[in-house]
Amino acid sequence: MSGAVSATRAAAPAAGRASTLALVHADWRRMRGTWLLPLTVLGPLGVTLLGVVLFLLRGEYMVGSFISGEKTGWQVVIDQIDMVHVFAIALGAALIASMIVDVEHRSDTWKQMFGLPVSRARSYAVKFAWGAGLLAVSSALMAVGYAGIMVWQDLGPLPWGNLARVAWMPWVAVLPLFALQLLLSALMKNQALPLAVGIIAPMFGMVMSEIPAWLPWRLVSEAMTVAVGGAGAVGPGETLSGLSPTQIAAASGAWVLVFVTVGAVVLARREIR
Amino acid sequence: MKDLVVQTAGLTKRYGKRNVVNGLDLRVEREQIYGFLGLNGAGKTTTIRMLMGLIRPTSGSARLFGHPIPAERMKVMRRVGALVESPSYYAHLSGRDNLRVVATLLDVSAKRVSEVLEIVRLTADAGRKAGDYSLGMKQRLGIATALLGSPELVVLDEPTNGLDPAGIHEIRDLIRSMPREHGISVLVSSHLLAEIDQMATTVGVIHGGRLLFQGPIEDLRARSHGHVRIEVDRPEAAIAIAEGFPLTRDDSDGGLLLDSTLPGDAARLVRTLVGGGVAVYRVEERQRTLEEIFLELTGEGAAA
Repeated sequence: MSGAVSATRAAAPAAGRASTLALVHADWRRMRGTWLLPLTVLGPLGVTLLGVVLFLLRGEYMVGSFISGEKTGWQVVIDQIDMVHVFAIALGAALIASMIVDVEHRSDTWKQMFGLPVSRARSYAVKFAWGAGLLAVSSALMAVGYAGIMVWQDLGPLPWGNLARVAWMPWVAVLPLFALQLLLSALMKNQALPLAVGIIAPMFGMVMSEIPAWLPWRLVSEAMTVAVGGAGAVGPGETLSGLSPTQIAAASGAWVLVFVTVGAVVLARREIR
Repeated sequence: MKDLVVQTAGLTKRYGKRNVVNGLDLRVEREQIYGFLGLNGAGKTTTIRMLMGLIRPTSGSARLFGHPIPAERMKVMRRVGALVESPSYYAHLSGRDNLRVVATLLDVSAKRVSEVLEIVRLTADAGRKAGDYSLGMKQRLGIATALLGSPELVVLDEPTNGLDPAGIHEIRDLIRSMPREHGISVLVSSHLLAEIDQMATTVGVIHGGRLLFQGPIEDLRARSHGHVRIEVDRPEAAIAIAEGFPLTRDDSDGGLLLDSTLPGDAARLVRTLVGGGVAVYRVEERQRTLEEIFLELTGEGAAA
């Protein structure tokens, strides 16, 4: 055995609690080699490819309504894939939430991490931030996908306002779902239940217009409706519940605050066995 | 008063109706190797988890470097390195990348990562996925992680689990070198007395959640007040003749046991026996092994 058991003690900081930046960096190191990063790209790619397939199968009929002037090019694209987008982003939130914490469950590393000078609450908040960041990347790529289809099918000038809204509004609206899934996934070692909830609940949310629009499972489709109809394309009487972008963002922020706080407190008080 | 790196007072953890750890008063001094000895399920790991702030005591208190745990955990954990129960590792990352994750959190250099890999002899396998490691290599990785932050106190829970004899030897040498060469205090748990005997300067024996003994390992040995074993030609007659001596028959081999090691006692007994016409073949002192003492302490060996 070599001797240098404590060679660098003098250089080590005395108090030395891990900074938030160190937590962010450590999570990045953990993530590499998992499916988290590929999933972030594969999600929007999959939805876009589904759009491509739809256009290949019945593009002539779909583009017809654009040529006749009945619909804008943007509407033609949106009509095909907006519901898939809503479902995919909710599913992505559940998957990312599960994978971010399951890496610790499976490797039994909570006890190691929390034996370090690491704030439990802060490390939870950082995991939320990472997931939110990955979902933001997915959402931005999704907008790129919409734009790509429009350019490919020659559906007129790109509606930059709509593209921006479709990138950020569903993202903001899915954060409560992600925060809730992160809470469930962190609490349960077995990921079957959190994943089942994460897959099934959004489906109900999409079809159940009776539940209040500000509930996490409805917020995403509400946001999508506002985002795609921003140019006044959605007729009156459609599912628009009347929530403004500001209201959606406010509801989302409130949910996130509640779920992340609960998760951080629960994890901080938890017995790590 | 001595400098205590670990101190607990009445430390208790109750699960349901059972006190898994019961009123523990541990005292680990600076630069000591404290052997925490107990059978599996005696409460060692639960105690260590409380020391690390992973679980809360039901009652009592724990202090590391004088700071209460878990209240001031963040103030002292930078000075502590630990391997709690089975080693934790990210199976999808290489051994080196596993250490890098912790290195990032502890703000230690890449050079230090290489150093600890060298210390536990994992340098050659540092690039392999930790999930493909053997149990012994995972254990080494856990020890490397504990050393990463150049801690002042190292807590190792069953560190030689899963290691082959050569590996056990290396880890034992490493642990023994820590106080001497680097001023590190060590709390090492084990269910193997021989292992503790070879490493520790102080020992704490835990059984059923209670601390049965705590002190220098020599004191534990001193408890082994021995016997003098005597072989004679006629044991029955000898016992009759030696009335008044604490002499009993050793049923296992027909010898006699004198429950005293005072030199005068043995001499008087031999004189009495010879005077009574009993032929004495052999007189020898018999120390109890630490194993026997341990078994006696824990009550498991009452019949042995």
